[in-house]
Amino acid sequence: MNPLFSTRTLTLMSAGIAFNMVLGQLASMLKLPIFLDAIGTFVVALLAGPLAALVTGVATNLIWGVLTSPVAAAFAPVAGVIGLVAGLCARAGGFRSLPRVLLSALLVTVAVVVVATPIRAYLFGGATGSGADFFVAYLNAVGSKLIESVALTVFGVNLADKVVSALLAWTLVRALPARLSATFPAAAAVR
Amino acid sequence: MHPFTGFALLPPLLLLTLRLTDARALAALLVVLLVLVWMGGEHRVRLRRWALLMLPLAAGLWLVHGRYLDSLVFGADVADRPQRLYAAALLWLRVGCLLAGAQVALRLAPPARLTRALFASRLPPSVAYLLASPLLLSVQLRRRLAEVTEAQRARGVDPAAPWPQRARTLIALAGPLVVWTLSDVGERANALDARAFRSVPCRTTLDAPAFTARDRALLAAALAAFVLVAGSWLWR
Amino acid sequence: MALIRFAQASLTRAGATAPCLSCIDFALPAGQTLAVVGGSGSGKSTLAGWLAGWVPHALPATEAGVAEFDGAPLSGALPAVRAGQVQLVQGNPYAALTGCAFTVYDEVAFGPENLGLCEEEIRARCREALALCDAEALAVRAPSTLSGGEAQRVALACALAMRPRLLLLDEAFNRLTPAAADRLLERLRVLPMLTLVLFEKSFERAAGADLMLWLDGGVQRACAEAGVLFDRVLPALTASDAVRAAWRSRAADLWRDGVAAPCSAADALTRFAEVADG
Repeated sequence: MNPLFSTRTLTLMSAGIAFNMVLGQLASMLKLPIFLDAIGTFVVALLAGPLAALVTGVATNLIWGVLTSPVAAAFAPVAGVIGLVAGLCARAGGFRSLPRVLLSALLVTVAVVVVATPIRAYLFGGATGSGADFFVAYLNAVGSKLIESVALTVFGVNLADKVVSALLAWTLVRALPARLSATFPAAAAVR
Repeated sequence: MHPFTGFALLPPLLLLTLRLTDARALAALLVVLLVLVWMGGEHRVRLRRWALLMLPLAAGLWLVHGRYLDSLVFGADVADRPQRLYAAALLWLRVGCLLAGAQVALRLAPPARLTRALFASRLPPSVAYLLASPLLLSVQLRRRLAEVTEAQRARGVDPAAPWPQRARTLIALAGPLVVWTLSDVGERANALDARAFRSVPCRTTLDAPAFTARDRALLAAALAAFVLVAGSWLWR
Repeated sequence: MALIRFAQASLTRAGATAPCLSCIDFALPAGQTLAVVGGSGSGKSTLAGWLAGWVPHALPATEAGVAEFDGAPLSGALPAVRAGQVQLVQGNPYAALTGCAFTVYDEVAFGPENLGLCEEEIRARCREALALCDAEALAVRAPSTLSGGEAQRVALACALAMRPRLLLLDEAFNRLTPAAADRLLERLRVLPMLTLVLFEKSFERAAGADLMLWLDGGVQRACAEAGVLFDRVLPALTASDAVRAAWRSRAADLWRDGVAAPCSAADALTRFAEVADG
């Protein structure tokens, strides 16, 4: 019987989870204004497809949940959907050129808005304790409903992050030596 | 105690925080939970972690639900501010209780023991592997990253530069790390295969955390609490 | 009956047109030791992977000719299923670490645990494997903190804990001192029921084997006893100065007929004395 994921895909996913954890920390260490905690998910999406990337995202947040706080676990569906949509985009040739990568990043952001907005609005009252709360309050003040304010803020914050993450992952995968990328038979086209 | 047992306390706690609608009762529950966190090991790290999440969240909720921008910037009349803030306070207390409860549960599940428990559980070994191996791998990556940072600094990369330059630093740092780790993926897979990983459906785990009578009692207590809270809700 | 049998076998990597290994033709009875020799890029590691059962899952390639292990085709099975029979120890010992063990003991136990053996059996295997590799003192260390030589001993212990019938050592001792490497090899040779295949650049370590197979550019050039191949293989390998001097004098026709080629430095000195006495 062949298992769902080959051992090679499994170790790739484990590496992707570790990237998410370490590069996210690196971004905050360099005090960059974005999270960059999904680069590993994007890399797995490019090299092994949507299902593996979905599991990578969910597992990343579950591990964060166990290590630090269950808030990360509450956002596991968001991390999963990032992988799923990025993987589907990659399958459809969405990482073959720069404009396509930007479009894929936009699609991922839209998916994130759909999944993350209810979690943020209902579970956490629309606030996260970051600078983005000012935007939510501002949009709320100029007349939007809370859920609309949250959705717009989530979109704004994530668009920048997902574009940078997608570009970084794309650049990294493109720069892989041909001999190495040949060892991932399910890899999507990146040029 | 078995590392999984602590997590069984979370569902009744969730139900209880939803059931309590009085801020004073929730605050009392929060205090009890924080004292429990404080009594356990590593309490300084855990309390700090809790505070780092909950204090900014309090500020954010106060800003969003108090509608201070509305009244201060746009001069709008926010007559229902006390009610809104009370609702936000309830939400904050609920999230705070759950986070504190989770810290109590996590105290019972240190990573090494949790890994053993995962491998010994009925979960497929691949799931256990996915949850356990990144912990170790990320430790190695961080060490590797420190080495690369050192090398880049030696070549004159300044980590305190303006941010477009820091973004370039990020690529310069992440690039070698990603290539190095991805080139190891095949070797890791071969190493797992060489150890007959997933070759038989039932693997043995040495020193598997035992499920004792105490665990069973706690589990039963959690279940009873769950039924009790749910029952009191339905009865009302 | 031969444990390993190759007959006019060749291997072609996926995507390549020319074979990376060809004319592989030998048979190795169970319990014997084979040394595969050749320089860098001669195909030793590819042959090691082939013997380890990596084709086609971990080593995408197609084979031609006969390649059998214990009477059954060498390739095609999932590598994890073959792991209880065949173990490969590579030159890079860190490649053998699974990355899901917090201590060396857990790392060694990981394989037997996956076989679903009972706890006493697993503990006995770990104890035995660690003792044989002089690695008992490392048992509580974290695997990622091991030095190269320590990691090599642990990698060997991990392989031995699986109790393989066939053990492949692909330059597995290159980070140990020669004395430590020879000691380990001696202990492995006397293990009952174990067939060894060494992949070596060093003539003298290979010369202790029952049979020597010479690979050159992916082609099997010869397969015979070390003494027989001496004059042909030595230029491609590393060897001590004494053995190299013996080769030079044989090449210059200064060696007397009837005196065998030496297989070690000590051997070379004796033979020189024989040649001189005559």
